[in-house]
Amino acid sequence: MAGTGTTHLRSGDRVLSVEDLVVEFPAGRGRRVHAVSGISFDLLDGETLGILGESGCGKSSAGRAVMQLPPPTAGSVRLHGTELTGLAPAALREHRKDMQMILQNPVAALNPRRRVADLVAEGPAVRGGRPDRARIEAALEAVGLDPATVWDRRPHELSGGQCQRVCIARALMLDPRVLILDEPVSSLDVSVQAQILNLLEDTGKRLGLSMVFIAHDLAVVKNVSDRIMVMYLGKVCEVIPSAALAGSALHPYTRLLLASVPEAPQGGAEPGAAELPSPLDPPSGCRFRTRCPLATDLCAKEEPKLRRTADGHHVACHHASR
Amino acid sequence: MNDAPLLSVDDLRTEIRTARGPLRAVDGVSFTVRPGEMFGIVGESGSGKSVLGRTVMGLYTSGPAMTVTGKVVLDGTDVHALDDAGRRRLWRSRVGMVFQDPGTALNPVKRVGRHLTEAMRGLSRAAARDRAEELLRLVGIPEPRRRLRQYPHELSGGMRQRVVIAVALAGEPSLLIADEPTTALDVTVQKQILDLLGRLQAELGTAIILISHDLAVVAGRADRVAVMYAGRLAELAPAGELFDSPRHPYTEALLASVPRLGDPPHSVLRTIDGAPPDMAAPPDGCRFAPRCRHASPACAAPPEFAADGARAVACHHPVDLGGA
Ligand SMILES: Nc1ncnc2c1ncn2[C@@H]1O[C@H](COP(=O)(O)OP(=O)(O)OP(=O)(O)O)[C@@H](O)[C@H]1O
Ligand SMILES: Nc1ncnc2c1ncn2[C@@H]1O[C@H](COP(=O)(O)OP(=O)(O)O)[C@@H](O)[C@H]1O
Ligand code: SF4
Ligand code: SF4
Ligand SMILES: [Mg+2]
Ligand SMILES: [Mg+2]
Repeated sequence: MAGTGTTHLRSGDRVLSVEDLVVEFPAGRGRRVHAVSGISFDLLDGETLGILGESGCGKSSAGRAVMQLPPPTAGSVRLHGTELTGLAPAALREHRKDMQMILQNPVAALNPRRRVADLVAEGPAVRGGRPDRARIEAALEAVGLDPATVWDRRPHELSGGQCQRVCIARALMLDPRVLILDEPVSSLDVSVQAQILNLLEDTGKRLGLSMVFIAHDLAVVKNVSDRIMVMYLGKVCEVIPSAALAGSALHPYTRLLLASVPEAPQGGAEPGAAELPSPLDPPSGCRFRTRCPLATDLCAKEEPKLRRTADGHHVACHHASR
Repeated sequence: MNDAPLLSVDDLRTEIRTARGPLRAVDGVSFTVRPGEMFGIVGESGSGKSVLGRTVMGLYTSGPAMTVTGKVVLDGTDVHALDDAGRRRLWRSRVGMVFQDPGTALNPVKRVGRHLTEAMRGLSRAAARDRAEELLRLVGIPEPRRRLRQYPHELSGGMRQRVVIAVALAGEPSLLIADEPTTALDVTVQKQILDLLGRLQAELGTAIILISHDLAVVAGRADRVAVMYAGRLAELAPAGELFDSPRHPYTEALLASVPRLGDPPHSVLRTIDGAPPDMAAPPDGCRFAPRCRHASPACAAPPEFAADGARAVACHHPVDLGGA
């Protein structure tokens, strides 16, 4: 399986590097869901990479495969230079401990029968030794929760935003270097979303964390990220510095997304009205071609590879140009 | 000076009986909708938008589970004075509703065509089928004849929501209530559905109440927008004015908390401290007071929803126009 290319990968000090990641699921009668089809990305120390794309494009599958939950069908995932794929369970637990994942539905992510203090203490406790009270209190305070108020509460006695804070506190107890956040604010109201985004920004800076931030909201991803990777049907379309997203995006799919945000000027053609093709049988060549206004015969024959168009900006398209 | 309103809602209250005591999900809401107008209602989750929509629609009425007071008058008919049969007739002929989740709004064992023809009256089978096909074409579904024979699970989320809208339009309603019609959908599909609603409003003259928690969804489409907080309207204004110069401190703070594509990465977002009140035990006086930066002792008394020209705001210390 050919990947989308690796020109966007950097050399030097990378906390995480993922190459040619493939995730497939069996779908009965010998068929396979092509959820992620050869994507690559890396993460520098203290950097936040945003992964943007519509429902079903493979964002969560990619995030889970990086965590080895479950391991990818193929490809390489290196954390601090150590290859995680193929490690035995004990070794994997040891090497993966620097990386924690936070999920979209904070209420479902927490065991409903346990109290906040126990939920936060859980990670270190599993590794032997329950942390002392002061450390749990500090973790709760760090995410803006009052330890005295929430200490004995169970998840259903908290709001969605408070549950997400508990999830973040819980992850931070394990002193991670990398956070994989899968739609961490998508189920929250805008005012709560703003609180959590500010919290992630502060915490990330204070602790020097690197983050992979998965979301479908363009403005949210732009707000938190240094670099953005746009995915479509299991492939990478474009890698772009966050500051350039609104003004300089080149890939027709990124542009369709930008034209679809409700605050974009209305009118004009209605590109991409067609349906998302099935991941069971993705189109040949460029997977976006069935919805692309620029598609030609070449796009059906040959898969476009990422090519560099500016510093830190890479596009996988035969025809896009500035 | 204005057209006579199509819908007028006057001091509407919906009190739901819960284990923890009565919950005033809608607590004294008044507004009007003009014929052909797109009227937006925005607010965060739990603010009462859906209960308001369902009460206006006459789906929530006084009974063992809840008490409804106030008036909802649609084109001269008091919705809550009707009996069940009268209300059903009204829905079939005057009002359509589109709910958030297109998955559950359709019956999985009924074909698309059945959903549509059941919503029609007094047509022969052939005429109903033609009309169903025409409705699917109207909402932008390609190959309508083939789609009529399909089941809901054979359609994508966006297609299903188009079918739901087509069903709501079958009785040629003069008012369509759309409660978060795009919340479950991707941005590209969301744009298609919002464009469709805009087209129906323009071409058929259907008045639409567009309910959303997403300010941006409502901003570009609605003629006027009401902001709801804790069961009450905080502010009502023409859309452009509301977003350019909010007068209620809650509207102002809400707008400032939304990340914008035009802002540089890592911009600090403004937040609203605290959380909305428990609706079973809301604070006396202004319900936003515990979270408001402008609160004063005067705010211990509930502010009136005071009209000022085309705008209205419920606040003792509204934000200065053009200021802040
Ligand atoms: N366990 C599974 N078995 C079979 N197919 C799966 C499984 N998990 C995901 N898929 C399929 O893989 C594709 C990618 O799914 P994924 O959940 O990664 O998308 P996503 O980008 O995270 O979407 P969303 O924005 O909806 O969360 C989809 O077609 C999905 O239906
Ligand atoms: N059937 C019900 N029984 C009890 N409480 C309800 C019911 N429906 C809504 N509520 C409550 O009424 C308030 C308003 O809810 P809703 O109108 O659904 O809010 P929104 O649509 O703005 O998110 C919330 O506190 C909600 O929990
Ligand atoms: S490669 Fe072709 S089909 Fe794909 S995005 Fe570019 S122009 Fe469109
Ligand atoms: S009435 Fe007082 S507390 Fe309420 S919004 Fe206005 S200033 Fe704030
Ligand atoms: Mg996902
Ligand atoms: Mg609702």
